[in-house]
Amino acid sequence: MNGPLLDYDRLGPMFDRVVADGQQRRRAALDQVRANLLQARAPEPARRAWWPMVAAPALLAAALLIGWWWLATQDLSYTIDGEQQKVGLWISADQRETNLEFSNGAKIVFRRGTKGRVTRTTTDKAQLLVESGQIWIHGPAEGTRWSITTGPYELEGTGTDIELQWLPEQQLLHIDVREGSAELRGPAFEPPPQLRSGESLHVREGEMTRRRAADRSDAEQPDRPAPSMVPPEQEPDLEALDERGPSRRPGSSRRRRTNAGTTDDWRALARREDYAASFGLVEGKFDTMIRSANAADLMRLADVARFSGHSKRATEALLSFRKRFSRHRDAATAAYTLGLIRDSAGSAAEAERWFATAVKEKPRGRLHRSALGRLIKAAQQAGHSSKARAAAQTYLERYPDGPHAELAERIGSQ
Amino acid sequence: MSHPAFFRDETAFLDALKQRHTGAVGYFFDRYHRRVDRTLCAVLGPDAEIPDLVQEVFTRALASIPRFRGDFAQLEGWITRIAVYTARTQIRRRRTARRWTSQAPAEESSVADPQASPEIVDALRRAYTLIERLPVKERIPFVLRTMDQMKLEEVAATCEISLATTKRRLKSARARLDRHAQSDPVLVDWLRRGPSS
Repeated sequence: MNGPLLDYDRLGPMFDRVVADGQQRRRAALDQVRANLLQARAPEPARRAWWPMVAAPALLAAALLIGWWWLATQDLSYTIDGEQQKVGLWISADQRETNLEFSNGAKIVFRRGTKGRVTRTTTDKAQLLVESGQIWIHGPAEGTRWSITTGPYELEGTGTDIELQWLPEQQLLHIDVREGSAELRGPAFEPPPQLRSGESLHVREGEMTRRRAADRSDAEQPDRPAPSMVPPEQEPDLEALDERGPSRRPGSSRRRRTNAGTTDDWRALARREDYAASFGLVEGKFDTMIRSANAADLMRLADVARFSGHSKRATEALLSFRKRFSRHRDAATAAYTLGLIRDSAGSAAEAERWFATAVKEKPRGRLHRSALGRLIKAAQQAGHSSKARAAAQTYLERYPDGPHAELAERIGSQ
Repeated sequence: MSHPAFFRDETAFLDALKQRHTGAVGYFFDRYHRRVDRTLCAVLGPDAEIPDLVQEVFTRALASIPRFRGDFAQLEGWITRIAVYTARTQIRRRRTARRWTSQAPAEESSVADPQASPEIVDALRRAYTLIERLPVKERIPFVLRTMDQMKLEEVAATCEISLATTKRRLKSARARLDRHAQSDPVLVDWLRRGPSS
């Protein structure tokens, strides 16, 4: 079909005759339309409505009020590296400083080697547990209250610049209140010492020293606290420790002042490497001591017993340590030392178990390397070839140049 | 000069119209109501509501005239487009109403010229019955071209589509009507042989 079948052009004249011509018939109606249009008033220009000018500021004020109320009723929260963190999680600043940034602008820096956690937050207060290490509280939120539990102490403070260091092995607590106020509660502190801006408190093995900023000989850095008053104990070189004994442990040769300033107690004798004499002083009350000593003393007692030839007592001290301080960072060291003792006693299977525990609890560092190397040997001696090969393979992957690499290669190739 | 003599010039007339000057509104209606009436009739066919729709078109036009940026010569095309828009709205309004209420088609007898032959009136009614089945986008160019007898360029301008689109829609509308018309032998016969009178 090339075109339309019908001639639609015929519709036009028909339309003219029927409809268009009918306009005359609609004349009256159209005249009425004209009259309507002429009578119709032009619509008045729309007056500017008054209510948005009142409602908009009112809504804005209400939104601000709700926002302020919402913020004011929210518990403090914190982030690490921009990621929101849950209250209660353990924080281990193993490799580097860790910054906790709170929702009110305050910050807490966990210095390298510090372990702890935020245990609770409210709208204006944060509670922390510092297991060991050094933290720096700073920030613009002057109204923030802090409660820090560390060792046997509890610090309640309000401030914008407070530094706290707790070294459990040395029973050392150091607090610098550069700006703010704090109260320290703890054993033998009655009444609790109050600290004001510019004051510091040093507690070492129960002996408290209090200073004002002007008394200090060391210059303060106004914007950043000194890294550490007392360097934290480094992880021992355990391979050397096994061969040479505890006197080679870093820091162990330093002479320390005791709370009484004396050098004739068992700790002083231990530091002088007179383990037999030291053990002689504690032997009668060894059972009591391992139930009541703090973590540092318990490890020291284990060393004294072990290096004075009392492996059974050393084992008791170490087992007590693991029972009483199971989450302590030296718990893995205790396991490793138990492995050494069992290995020396010729009990390869038990040694293997303790070395494996140490490997599991300390998944990196020199202790891990040493425990893994010892584990290869103990597993091989215990007849657990597959476990020995697995440990050897891990060792070679992690420490191809380690002191047990040759043994690992030999075991791995079998 | 087409504007009434009592306005200084065309611009003065438009200004007066925008200010709803009574004389300007009256002149505006007198000058264009036939154009509007014819366009509405062409699009909608014989329809008793035409006068109401004429008023609606002028009401829309007077409401929009402050925003009119053309000159006097463009007024006719402008108000014709408003008429087409109003007619299209009416078509859709009625389709919606029919879909939901089974409303009867609009009365048509009052629009037709009483002097017209009943045979022609009947043929035109039959033609619009078919035209109503076209899609709106084809129906409007088709009636403007065939009933109102606009030039193709005028159809394109009024519908605000291109000339090519206009031709394509007209061709499509005719082909569609050819198919529909087969069901109405009276109309087919009439369109082939033309009016008997």
